[in-house]
Amino acid sequence: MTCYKYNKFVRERRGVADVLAVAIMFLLVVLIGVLLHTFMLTPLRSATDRQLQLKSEYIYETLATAWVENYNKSYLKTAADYLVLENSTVPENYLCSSMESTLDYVLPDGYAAEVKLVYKVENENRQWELIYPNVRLPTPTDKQFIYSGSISVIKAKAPENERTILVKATLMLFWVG
Amino acid sequence: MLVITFVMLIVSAYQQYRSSSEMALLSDSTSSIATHLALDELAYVDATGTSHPYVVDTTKLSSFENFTSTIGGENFEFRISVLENVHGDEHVHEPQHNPALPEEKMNCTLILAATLYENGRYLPAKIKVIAWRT
Repeated sequence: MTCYKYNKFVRERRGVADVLAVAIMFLLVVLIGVLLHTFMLTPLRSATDRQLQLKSEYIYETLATAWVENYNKSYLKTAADYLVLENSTVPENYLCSSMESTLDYVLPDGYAAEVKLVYKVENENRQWELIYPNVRLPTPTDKQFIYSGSISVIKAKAPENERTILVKATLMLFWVG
Repeated sequence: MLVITFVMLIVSAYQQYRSSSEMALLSDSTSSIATHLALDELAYVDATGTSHPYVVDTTKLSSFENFTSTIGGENFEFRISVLENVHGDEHVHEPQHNPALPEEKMNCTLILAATLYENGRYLPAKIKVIAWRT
Protein backbone atom coordinates (compact mmCIF):
# COMPACT_ATOMS: atom_id res chain seq x y z
CA MET A 1 0.00 0.00 0.00
CA THR A 2 2.79 2.41 0.92
CA CYS A 3 4.75 1.42 -2.16
CA TYR A 4 1.77 2.11 -4.48
CA LYS A 5 1.24 5.60 -3.01
CA TYR A 6 4.94 6.42 -3.44
CA ASN A 7 4.95 5.40 -7.17
CA LYS A 8 1.83 7.47 -7.87
CA PHE A 9 3.51 10.52 -6.27
CA VAL A 10 6.66 10.06 -8.41
CA ARG A 11 4.54 9.68 -11.60
CA GLU A 12 2.65 12.95 -10.80
CA ARG A 13 5.90 14.83 -10.17
CA ARG A 14 7.32 13.58 -13.49
CA GLY A 15 4.13 14.70 -15.27
CA VAL A 16 4.41 18.23 -13.86
CA ALA A 17 8.11 18.39 -14.85
CA ASP A 18 7.28 17.36 -18.45
CA VAL A 19 4.56 20.00 -18.76
CA LEU A 20 6.95 22.64 -17.36
CA ALA A 21 9.69 21.62 -19.82
CA VAL A 22 7.30 21.83 -22.79
CA ALA A 23 5.97 25.21 -21.58
CA ILE A 24 9.52 26.61 -21.25
CA MET A 25 10.44 25.32 -24.73
CA PHE A 26 7.27 26.90 -26.13
CA LEU A 27 8.11 30.22 -24.45
CA LEU A 28 11.64 30.02 -25.89
CA VAL A 29 10.27 29.45 -29.40
CA VAL A 30 7.94 32.46 -29.04
CA LEU A 31 10.83 34.59 -27.72
CA ILE A 32 13.10 33.55 -30.62
CA GLY A 33 10.28 34.37 -33.04
CA VAL A 34 9.79 37.87 -31.58
CA LEU A 35 13.55 38.54 -31.66
CA LEU A 36 13.86 37.27 -35.26
CA HIS A 37 11.01 39.48 -36.45
CA THR A 38 12.43 42.52 -34.61
CA PHE A 39 15.91 42.17 -36.15
CA MET A 40 14.48 41.51 -39.61
CA LEU A 41 13.15 45.11 -39.67
CA THR A 42 16.65 46.59 -39.20
CA PRO A 43 17.35 47.09 -42.98
CA LEU A 44 14.05 48.95 -43.34
CA ARG A 45 14.80 51.22 -40.36
CA SER A 46 18.24 51.98 -41.79
CA ALA A 47 16.70 52.83 -45.19
CA THR A 48 14.25 55.21 -43.47
CA ASP A 49 17.15 56.90 -41.67
CA ARG A 50 19.04 57.30 -44.94
CA GLN A 51 15.96 58.92 -46.51
CA LEU A 52 15.66 61.33 -43.57
CA GLN A 53 19.34 62.29 -43.89
CA LEU A 54 18.70 62.96 -47.58
CA LYS A 55 15.65 65.06 -46.67
CA SER A 56 17.72 67.21 -44.28
CA GLU A 57 20.27 67.81 -47.08
CA TYR A 58 17.52 68.87 -49.53
CA ILE A 59 15.83 71.15 -46.98
CA TYR A 60 19.19 72.85 -46.34
CA GLU A 61 19.83 73.28 -50.08
CA THR A 62 16.30 74.63 -50.61
CA LEU A 63 16.89 77.28 -47.93
CA ALA A 64 20.27 78.05 -49.53
CA THR A 65 18.86 78.49 -53.07
CA ALA A 66 15.17 79.51 -52.85
CA TRP A 67 14.47 83.22 -52.55
CA VAL A 68 12.58 84.88 -49.74
CA GLU A 69 9.14 85.82 -51.09
CA ASN A 70 9.13 89.29 -52.73
CA TYR A 71 12.96 89.53 -52.52
CA ASN A 72 15.75 88.14 -54.67
CA LYS A 73 18.01 86.72 -51.97
CA SER A 74 17.99 83.20 -50.47
CA TYR A 75 16.88 82.48 -46.90
CA LEU A 76 20.32 81.45 -45.63
CA LYS A 77 22.09 84.29 -47.47
CA THR A 78 19.72 86.81 -45.86
CA ALA A 79 20.30 85.31 -42.39
CA ALA A 80 24.09 85.35 -43.01
CA ASP A 81 23.85 89.06 -43.94
CA TYR A 82 22.35 89.80 -40.51
CA LEU A 83 25.32 88.20 -38.80
CA VAL A 84 28.08 89.75 -40.90
CA LEU A 85 26.70 93.07 -42.13
CA GLU A 86 24.26 93.55 -39.22
CA ASN A 87 21.63 94.76 -41.67
CA SER A 88 19.78 93.49 -44.72
CA THR A 89 17.25 94.64 -47.27
CA VAL A 90 14.86 91.99 -45.85
CA PRO A 91 13.37 92.84 -42.41
CA GLU A 92 14.29 90.11 -39.89
CA ASN A 93 10.68 89.48 -38.79
CA TYR A 94 9.70 89.00 -42.42
CA LEU A 95 12.59 86.57 -42.97
CA CYS A 96 11.56 84.52 -39.90
CA SER A 97 7.87 84.28 -40.87
CA SER A 98 8.74 83.51 -44.51
CA MET A 99 11.27 80.82 -43.48
CA GLU A 100 8.73 79.33 -41.05
CA SER A 101 6.08 79.06 -43.76
CA THR A 102 8.61 77.42 -46.12
CA LEU A 103 9.70 74.96 -43.42
CA ASP A 104 6.05 74.24 -42.65
CA TYR A 105 5.60 73.24 -46.31
CA VAL A 106 8.78 71.21 -46.83
CA LEU A 107 9.24 69.45 -43.46
CA PRO A 108 8.19 65.78 -43.26
CA ASP A 109 5.17 65.11 -40.98
CA GLY A 110 6.09 64.87 -37.30
CA TYR A 111 9.53 66.46 -37.72
CA ALA A 112 10.96 69.80 -36.63
CA ALA A 113 14.02 71.68 -37.88
CA GLU A 114 16.63 73.92 -36.34
CA VAL A 115 18.39 76.36 -38.67
CA LYS A 116 21.57 77.77 -37.14
CA LEU A 117 24.20 80.12 -38.55
CA VAL A 118 27.45 80.85 -36.72
CA TYR A 119 29.94 83.58 -37.57
CA LYS A 120 33.21 83.70 -35.62
CA VAL A 121 34.58 87.22 -35.44
CA GLU A 122 37.70 87.78 -33.33
CA ASN A 123 36.73 86.55 -29.84
CA GLU A 124 33.01 86.68 -30.47
CA ASN A 125 30.66 83.95 -31.75
CA ARG A 126 27.69 85.59 -33.46
CA GLN A 127 24.73 83.26 -33.91
CA TRP A 128 21.37 83.29 -35.71
CA GLU A 129 18.89 80.52 -34.94
CA LEU A 130 15.36 79.49 -35.87
CA ILE A 131 13.51 76.43 -34.60
CA TYR A 132 10.30 75.42 -36.35
CA PRO A 133 7.86 74.42 -34.96
CA ASN A 134 8.77 76.07 -31.67
CA VAL A 135 9.69 72.95 -29.67
CA ARG A 136 12.41 71.84 -27.28
CA LEU A 137 15.65 70.77 -28.96
CA PRO A 138 16.43 67.03 -28.79
CA THR A 139 19.00 65.65 -26.37
CA PRO A 140 22.29 64.44 -27.95
CA THR A 141 21.12 60.83 -27.53
CA ASP A 142 17.91 61.43 -29.57
CA LYS A 143 17.99 60.66 -33.27
CA GLN A 144 18.76 63.74 -35.37
CA PHE A 145 19.74 64.33 -39.00
CA ILE A 146 22.27 67.12 -39.48
CA TYR A 147 23.48 68.73 -42.68
CA SER A 148 25.83 71.70 -42.78
CA GLY A 149 27.57 73.94 -45.25
CA SER A 150 28.85 77.48 -45.56
CA ILE A 151 27.34 80.66 -46.94
CA SER A 152 29.60 83.35 -48.35
CA VAL A 153 28.99 87.03 -47.66
CA ILE A 154 30.87 89.86 -49.37
CA LYS A 155 31.85 92.68 -47.02
CA ALA A 156 32.50 95.59 -49.36
CA LYS A 157 34.07 97.89 -46.76
CA ALA A 158 36.61 95.33 -45.51
CA PRO A 159 40.25 95.11 -46.74
CA GLU A 160 40.60 93.20 -50.02
CA ASN A 161 41.85 89.90 -48.52
CA GLU A 162 39.06 89.92 -45.87
CA ARG A 163 36.10 90.72 -48.11
CA THR A 164 34.71 87.21 -48.53
CA ILE A 165 33.42 85.87 -45.25
CA LEU A 166 32.19 82.33 -44.73
CA VAL A 167 29.33 81.73 -42.31
CA LYS A 168 28.74 78.16 -41.11
CA ALA A 169 25.11 77.10 -41.57
CA THR A 170 23.59 73.94 -40.10
CA LEU A 171 20.20 72.34 -40.48
CA MET A 172 19.08 69.75 -37.96
CA LEU A 173 16.02 67.61 -38.57
CA PHE A 174 14.54 65.82 -35.54
CA TRP A 175 11.44 63.86 -34.57
CA VAL A 176 8.82 65.60 -32.41
CA GLY A 177 5.89 63.25 -32.90
CA MET B 1 3.94 20.61 -32.45
CA LEU B 2 6.89 22.59 -31.15
CA VAL B 3 8.99 21.63 -34.15
CA ILE B 4 6.19 22.67 -36.56
CA THR B 5 5.80 26.03 -34.74
CA PHE B 6 9.58 26.58 -34.88
CA VAL B 7 9.79 25.79 -38.61
CA MET B 8 6.81 28.09 -39.33
CA LEU B 9 8.51 30.88 -37.36
CA ILE B 10 11.75 30.51 -39.33
CA VAL B 11 9.86 30.49 -42.66
CA SER B 12 7.82 33.55 -41.68
CA ALA B 13 10.93 35.41 -40.45
CA TYR B 14 12.76 34.62 -43.70
CA GLN B 15 9.81 35.88 -45.77
CA GLN B 16 9.71 39.06 -43.67
CA TYR B 17 13.47 39.50 -44.10
CA ARG B 18 13.16 39.19 -47.90
CA SER B 19 10.24 41.59 -48.01
CA SER B 20 11.97 44.21 -45.80
CA SER B 21 15.23 43.89 -47.79
CA GLU B 22 13.29 44.44 -51.04
CA MET B 23 11.57 47.49 -49.53
CA ALA B 24 14.93 48.89 -48.32
CA LEU B 25 16.44 48.35 -51.78
CA LEU B 26 13.46 50.04 -53.46
CA SER B 27 13.71 52.95 -51.00
CA ASP B 28 17.44 53.42 -51.72
CA SER B 29 16.85 53.15 -55.47
CA THR B 30 14.11 55.81 -55.26
CA SER B 31 16.53 58.11 -53.37
CA SER B 32 19.14 57.52 -56.05
CA ILE B 33 16.65 58.30 -58.87
CA ALA B 34 15.43 61.49 -57.10
CA THR B 35 19.00 62.67 -56.50
CA HIS B 36 19.96 62.06 -60.14
CA LEU B 37 16.92 64.07 -61.26
CA ALA B 38 17.45 67.01 -58.87
CA LEU B 39 21.21 67.26 -59.35
CA ASP B 40 21.47 66.53 -63.04
CA GLU B 41 18.58 65.78 -65.39
CA LEU B 42 16.12 68.42 -64.17
CA ALA B 43 18.68 70.90 -62.80
CA TYR B 44 18.34 74.44 -64.10
CA VAL B 45 21.18 75.58 -66.40
CA ASP B 46 21.51 79.37 -66.67
CA ALA B 47 22.49 81.45 -69.71
CA THR B 48 26.21 81.12 -68.90
CA GLY B 49 25.92 77.32 -68.92
CA THR B 50 26.26 76.98 -65.15
CA SER B 51 24.20 74.13 -63.71
CA HIS B 52 22.23 74.78 -60.51
CA PRO B 53 21.82 71.51 -58.59
CA TYR B 54 18.71 71.18 -56.36
CA VAL B 55 16.94 73.74 -58.61
CA VAL B 56 14.30 72.14 -60.86
CA ASP B 57 13.65 73.78 -64.21
CA THR B 58 9.93 73.67 -65.15
CA THR B 59 10.69 73.69 -68.90
CA LYS B 60 12.98 70.64 -68.51
CA LEU B 61 10.31 68.95 -66.38
CA SER B 62 7.48 69.36 -68.88
CA SER B 63 9.55 67.89 -71.74
CA PHE B 64 11.11 65.08 -69.65
CA GLU B 65 10.75 61.67 -71.32
CA ASN B 66 13.12 59.06 -69.88
CA PHE B 67 11.20 57.47 -67.01
CA THR B 68 13.34 54.34 -66.61
CA SER B 69 16.53 53.75 -64.69
CA THR B 70 18.82 50.77 -64.07
CA ILE B 71 20.33 50.56 -60.60
CA GLY B 72 22.43 47.60 -59.47
CA GLY B 73 21.31 45.55 -62.47
CA GLU B 74 17.62 46.07 -61.66
CA ASN B 75 15.26 48.07 -63.86
CA PHE B 76 13.01 50.70 -62.33
CA GLU B 77 10.32 52.93 -63.74
CA PHE B 78 9.23 56.14 -62.01
CA ARG B 79 6.86 59.07 -62.20
CA ILE B 80 7.72 62.61 -61.13
CA SER B 81 5.79 65.63 -59.94
CA VAL B 82 6.94 68.94 -58.54
CA LEU B 83 4.66 70.49 -55.94
CA GLU B 84 4.53 74.22 -55.34
CA ASN B 85 2.72 76.06 -52.58
CA VAL B 86 0.90 79.04 -54.11
CA HIS B 87 -0.67 81.03 -51.23
CA GLY B 88 -1.89 77.88 -49.46
CA ASP B 89 -2.94 76.00 -52.62
CA GLU B 90 -0.75 73.21 -53.93
CA HIS B 91 0.09 73.57 -57.62
CA VAL B 92 1.37 70.38 -59.30
CA HIS B 93 3.85 70.47 -62.22
CA GLU B 94 4.16 67.19 -64.15
CA PRO B 95 5.91 65.98 -67.30
CA GLN B 96 3.59 65.55 -70.29
CA HIS B 97 4.19 61.80 -70.56
CA ASN B 98 4.33 60.82 -66.87
CA PRO B 99 3.75 57.03 -66.70
CA ALA B 100 0.69 55.69 -64.85
CA LEU B 101 1.17 54.07 -61.46
CA PRO B 102 0.88 50.23 -61.68
CA GLU B 103 -1.79 48.79 -59.40
CA GLU B 104 -0.26 45.51 -58.29
CA LYS B 105 3.40 46.39 -57.83
CA MET B 106 5.21 47.50 -54.70
CA ASN B 107 6.23 51.13 -55.09
CA CYS B 108 8.12 53.70 -53.03
CA THR B 109 7.18 57.37 -52.76
CA LEU B 110 9.82 59.91 -51.82
CA ILE B 111 9.09 63.60 -51.30
CA LEU B 112 12.09 65.92 -51.05
CA ALA B 113 12.37 69.67 -50.66
CA ALA B 114 13.64 71.41 -53.80
CA THR B 115 13.79 74.78 -55.45
CA LEU B 116 11.71 75.51 -58.53
CA TYR B 117 12.98 77.88 -61.19
CA GLU B 118 9.96 79.58 -62.72
CA ASN B 119 9.65 82.94 -64.49
CA GLY B 120 13.09 84.05 -63.36
CA ARG B 121 12.47 83.30 -59.66
CA TYR B 122 13.75 80.58 -57.31
CA LEU B 123 10.75 79.26 -55.37
CA PRO B 124 10.63 76.70 -52.54
CA ALA B 125 8.91 73.51 -53.71
CA LYS B 126 8.87 69.74 -53.30
CA ILE B 127 9.86 67.02 -55.74
CA LYS B 128 7.84 63.80 -55.53
CA VAL B 129 9.21 60.60 -57.07
CA ILE B 130 7.31 57.30 -57.13
CA ALA B 131 9.42 54.34 -58.29
CA TRP B 132 8.69 50.65 -58.90
CA ARG B 133 10.44 47.61 -60.37
CA THR B 134 9.69 46.75 -64.00
